[in-house]
Amino acid sequence: MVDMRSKKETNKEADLALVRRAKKGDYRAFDLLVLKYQSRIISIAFKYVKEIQLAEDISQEAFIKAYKSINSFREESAFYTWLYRITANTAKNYLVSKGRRKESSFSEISTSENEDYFDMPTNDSPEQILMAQNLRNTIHDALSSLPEDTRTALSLREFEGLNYEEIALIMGCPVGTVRSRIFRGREALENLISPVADKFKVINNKEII
Amino acid sequence: MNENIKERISALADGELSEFEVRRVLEEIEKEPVLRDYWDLLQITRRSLANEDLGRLDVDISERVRRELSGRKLHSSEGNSSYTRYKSYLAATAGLALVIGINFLVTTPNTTIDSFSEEASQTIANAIASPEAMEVLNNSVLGIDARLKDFNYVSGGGMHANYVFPENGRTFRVSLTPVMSEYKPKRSPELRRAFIKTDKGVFVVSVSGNITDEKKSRILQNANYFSNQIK
Repeated sequence: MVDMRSKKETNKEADLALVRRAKKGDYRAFDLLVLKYQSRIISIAFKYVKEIQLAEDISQEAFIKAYKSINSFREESAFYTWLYRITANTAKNYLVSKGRRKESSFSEISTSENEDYFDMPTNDSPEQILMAQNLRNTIHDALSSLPEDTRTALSLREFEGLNYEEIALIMGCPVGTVRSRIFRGREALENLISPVADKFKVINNKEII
Repeated sequence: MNENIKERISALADGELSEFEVRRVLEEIEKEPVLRDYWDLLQITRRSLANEDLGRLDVDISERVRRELSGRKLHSSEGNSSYTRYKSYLAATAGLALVIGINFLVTTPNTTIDSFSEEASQTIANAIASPEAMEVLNNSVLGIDARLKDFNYVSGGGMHANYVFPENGRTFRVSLTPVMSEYKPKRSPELRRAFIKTDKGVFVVSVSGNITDEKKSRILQNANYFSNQIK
C-alpha cells in the first residue's frame, strides 16, 4: 500500500536538497530557489509597498537576508514559508523606517512561522489574474492530449504530490520510467507554455489597438 | 542542451536526486546558463499545473540577487531576462519546428505530440502563407534600435513578434491579427494601427509593450508605408 503524504509535504521536501546545498555555501543552489520563488516574493512585497520598483528592492534584500541566515532555517516549515516571513518583515521594516505605516497596523498580513503561504493570493490585477487563468487553461488542455502513461505519471506527481517511488508502485513500472515519463510530460507542456507565458510577461503594458 | 541533463533537472525540481547528483546538476547549470532558464520555465509550468499563484512573472530580479551572492561581474548578455535567453536557445536549437509544434498543439489540443511531424509541412505552409504580412512586419521596426527576440504564430492565423531594446532590456510586441473579410476598419483620429491587405485577408498591425508613444507611432507609420508599397 502506498503511504500518501500531502502534496505540500512533498513540495517542502523538494526544496530541501537545494536548501541543504545553500547551507554549505553553494549560492548556485540558492539561485535556483530565487528563480523558483521570485515572482511570488515580489508580489508579496508589492502588496505592502504598492510600488513595483520598491517591491523589487525589498525582494532582493529579503533574498540576500535569507541566504545570509539560511543556517538558521530549521527545516520545520517549508522554505517558502520562511522566505515569506522574511519578505514581510523586510517590507514592514521599510515602511516603518519611512514612517509610512505604524508597526501595529500590519496585523492584516500574518507572518506566523507555522502558517502555510503556498495558497495565499497576492492581489494581482484583474488582467494578471485573467492571463494566469489563460496560462493554466492552456496547460490543462495540453495535459489532456498527452499519452496516457505520461499524463498519469505527471498527474500523480503534480496533483497528488506522490514521489517517484510511490508512482512507480501504482503504475507498476521502474522508478526510472516514472522519472522519464514525468520529464517528457513537462517537456511537452513547457514547449506550449512558452508563448503564453511570454504574453503574461507584458501584461502590464496596454494594447493600443 | 541534452535530454539527460534536462531530465535530471526535472527530477531535481521534485527533490528526487541524491546529494551527489544535485551537486553535479548545479555544476552543469553553472556551465550552461540556458539550463537555468529551463529550470525557470519548469517552475512556471508546475505552478500553472498546480493552480498556484503565479505572482509577478513580468519582473526578474534573479540576476541582481545572483550577482550579489556570487560576487561576480555578469556579462551584459546575462542581464537579459532568463526567459528571453531560454527562448533564444529554443529558437537556435529547435527553430521553426518548435513554433510549428506549439502552433499545432494550440490549434488542435486533442492531438498527441507524436503527430507533429505528420502535419508539419501543412502547418508550415499555413504559417508563412502571407509573405506580404511578414515583409511589413520586418520593415515596421526600421529605424528603431530593437532586436527581434522571437515570434510565434497564434491560432487563427495571427502572429506576434517580440522585440527587445538592447539599451534597457524593455520589450514590446508587434502583432499581426487577421480580420474577417467583412470587417470594416474604423479610421482612428490617432495613428494607432495599420492594416495590411493580402490575398490571405486583412491583417491589423498593432504595437504593445514597454515602448514610448513616439516609437509606437514610428512603427505603425512604417507598417502603413510598407503596406501601401505592397498593395
